[in-house]
Amino acid sequence: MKEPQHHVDPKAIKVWRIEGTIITVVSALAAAVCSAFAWHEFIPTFIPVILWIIAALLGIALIGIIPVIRWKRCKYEVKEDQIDIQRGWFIIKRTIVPMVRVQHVDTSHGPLLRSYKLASVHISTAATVHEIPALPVEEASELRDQIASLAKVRDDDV
Amino acid sequence: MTMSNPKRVHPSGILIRFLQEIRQLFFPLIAVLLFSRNQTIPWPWQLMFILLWLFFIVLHGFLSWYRFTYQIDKEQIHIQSGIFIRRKRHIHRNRVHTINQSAGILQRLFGTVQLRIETAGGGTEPEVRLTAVTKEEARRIRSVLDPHLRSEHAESSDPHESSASPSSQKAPFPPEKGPAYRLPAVDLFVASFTSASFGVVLAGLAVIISQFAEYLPESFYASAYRWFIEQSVLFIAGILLGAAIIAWIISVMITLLQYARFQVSLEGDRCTIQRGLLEKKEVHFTRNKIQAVRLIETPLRQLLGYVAVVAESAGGSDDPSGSIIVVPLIKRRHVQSFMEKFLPQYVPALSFERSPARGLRRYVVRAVWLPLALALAGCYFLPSPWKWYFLLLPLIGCWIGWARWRDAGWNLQDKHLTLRYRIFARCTVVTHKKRIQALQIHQSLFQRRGKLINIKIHILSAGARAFKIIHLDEKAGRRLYEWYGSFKQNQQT
Repeated sequence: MKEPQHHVDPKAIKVWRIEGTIITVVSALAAAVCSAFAWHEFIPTFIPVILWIIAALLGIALIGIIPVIRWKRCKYEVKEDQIDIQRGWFIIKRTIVPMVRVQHVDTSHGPLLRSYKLASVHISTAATVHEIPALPVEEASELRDQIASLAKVRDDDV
Repeated sequence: MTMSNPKRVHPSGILIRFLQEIRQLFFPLIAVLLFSRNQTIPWPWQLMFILLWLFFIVLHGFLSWYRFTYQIDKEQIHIQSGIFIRRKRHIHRNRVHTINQSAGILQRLFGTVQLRIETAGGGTEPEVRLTAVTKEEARRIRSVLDPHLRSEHAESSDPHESSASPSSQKAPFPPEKGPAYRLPAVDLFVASFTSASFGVVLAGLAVIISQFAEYLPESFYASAYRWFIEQSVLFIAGILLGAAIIAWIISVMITLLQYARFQVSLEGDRCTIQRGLLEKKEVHFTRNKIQAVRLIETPLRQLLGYVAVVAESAGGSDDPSGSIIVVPLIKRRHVQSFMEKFLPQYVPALSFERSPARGLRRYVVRAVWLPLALALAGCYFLPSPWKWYFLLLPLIGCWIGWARWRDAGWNLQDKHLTLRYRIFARCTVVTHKKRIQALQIHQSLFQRRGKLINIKIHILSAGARAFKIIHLDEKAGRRLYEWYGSFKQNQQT
C-alpha cells in the first residue's frame, strides 16, 4: 500500500512535545505529593518510587520519542473521490473515507494549536469522525473548503 | 383545505397514562409506606396523602389527555400538547421516517393501538406518541403520513374511502405481496430455552429485592447471616442453583411471550415484523435503510445448529441501538435460502479467508493473559481444594483464543463484504460497499514483524457501529483497501 502523500505541519511535533511536557509535569507533581506522604510514613516508599519511574518514562516517551515518530507516520491525502489518513505511532491506523460518505467538515483549534497558527480538520461521516491534526490555519481552511465542495458534488443516500 | 378538526386520542388513553404513572411510582410509594410505619404519622393522614396523590395523578392524566390534540391535513400532522405550557409541533410527512404500531394488553382491551411516529432525528423517544387510537383512525393517519403506504395511496384523496376493508392487523394496502416467514414452534422453543436474557432476569430480581432490602430490620440480616453460615455448602449451592433455575424459567417465559407468533413478511421493499402474544409488536422497515446484517451464534445455539439474524438499520427500529431482530432463531442450513428470499443484498458468504497460522499465537496470548492472572491469584489466595479449579481458567482461555482464531475470516464478493469473528458468540456480518462509512486498517509495530493487520469497518446504525477483525494477513488489507478505495468504476448505486 502506498502511503498517503502529505505530512502535517512539522510544528505539530512542538505542539505534541508541549502536551507531553504538561502530562509529565502533572505526573511528576503526583509523584512529589506521594513522596511527601512517604516521607511522613503514611504510605510505603515503593509507591513514590514507582510513580517517579513512570513520570520519567512518560517524559522520555512523550517528549523525546513519540512526537517525532508520530509526525513521521501522520500523513494524509485528499483525492477526488476519497480521503486517506494515516495516524498513530505504535499502532498505525490507515483510514479511508469515501467522499460520498462525508457529511460535513470543520476546522478547530485549541489554544495550543492556535499559538502555533495551526488548526486540525475534522471530517464527519454519518457514523464516524476523523481528524487530520495540525495543519497551518490557511491550509486547513482551504482543505476544509476543498473537501466540502468535493463532497457536495455527488448525492448518494446513506 | 381539507383539514380535519383537532382530535383527542381515545379516552382509554387516560387510563393507560394513569396506569403508566402508577407503575413508575410504585416503588417510591411502597418506600413511603414502609418508611412511615416507623414514624408517628397517624394512618388517616397517610390515607389522605395517598388519596390526594392518586387524585393528582388522575387529574394530571385527564388534563394531559384533554390538552393533547392532533390534527391531520393532507400532508402534515399538527400536535398540541402541554397542560400549562402549550407546545405545538408540526411534522411534515416527508420528514416521517417510520411509524410503529403496537398494541399492549390495555390497548387490545379497548380495541385500540398505539402509534409512534418517528422522524430521522435521534433519541430513544419517538417524536409523537399517540397512546390510543382506534384501528381505523390509525389506518387513516398512516395513509397520510406513513412514507411506505403513501406512495401507493396517492390517488385516493379521501383517506376515509380506504378504511372500508376489514380491520385486520396487517396493512390493508397490499402492493405485491411478498413472501412471509413464520417462526416454527420448535425454533421458538429452542430460542426461549437458549435465550441469554437469563442474566437480565437475575439483575431484575436483584433490583426488586434490593428495593425491599432497605426496609428490612437490622436484626433480620443478623439472623439470616447466622442461618446462612450454619448451612452446609451443598445446601447453599442448591439454593443458588434453584434461584438460577427460577430465573431461567422466567426468562424462558418472557422470551416465549415476546417471540410467539413471530412473523416476517415482505411487501415490495417494505419489511414487517410482527411478534408477541400478550403485547403485539409490529416493526416496519424498508430494506434500503439496512446497513448490515449480523448472524449471531451463541456457543449453545451454534452447537444446536441455530443462528439469530439481526439487521442494523439507519432508522425504524424499536431498539434505540438500531438493531432489528429479523429472525430470533433459524436453522443454519435455512439461513441461505431465507436471506435470498428476504434480504438478497445480504446473503452471507460461505467460504472465508482466514487468519493465517502465525496469527494463532497472538489470538491465544490475547485470550489467555487475563484468565492466567486470575488463576495465579486464585492459587495464591485460596485454600487447597478450590485453587486447583482455577487452573482450568487458562485452559478455557486457550480454547477461546483458538476458537476466535479459527472463526476469524473475511470474504469479498463483488460489492459484498462478509466478516466473521467471535468474541464468545460467533458473529457473521454482511454488508455492502456503499453501506460502509469508513474503512480502517491497523497495524501495530509487533504485527508488522508478523505481516499481520487488523481491519475495522464503520457503518451507520441508529448510533454508529464498528466491526473489527484482528490478525489478518497483510495482503488482505491491501485487497480491501483497493476494493474500498476504487470508486470511479462503480458510480451506479
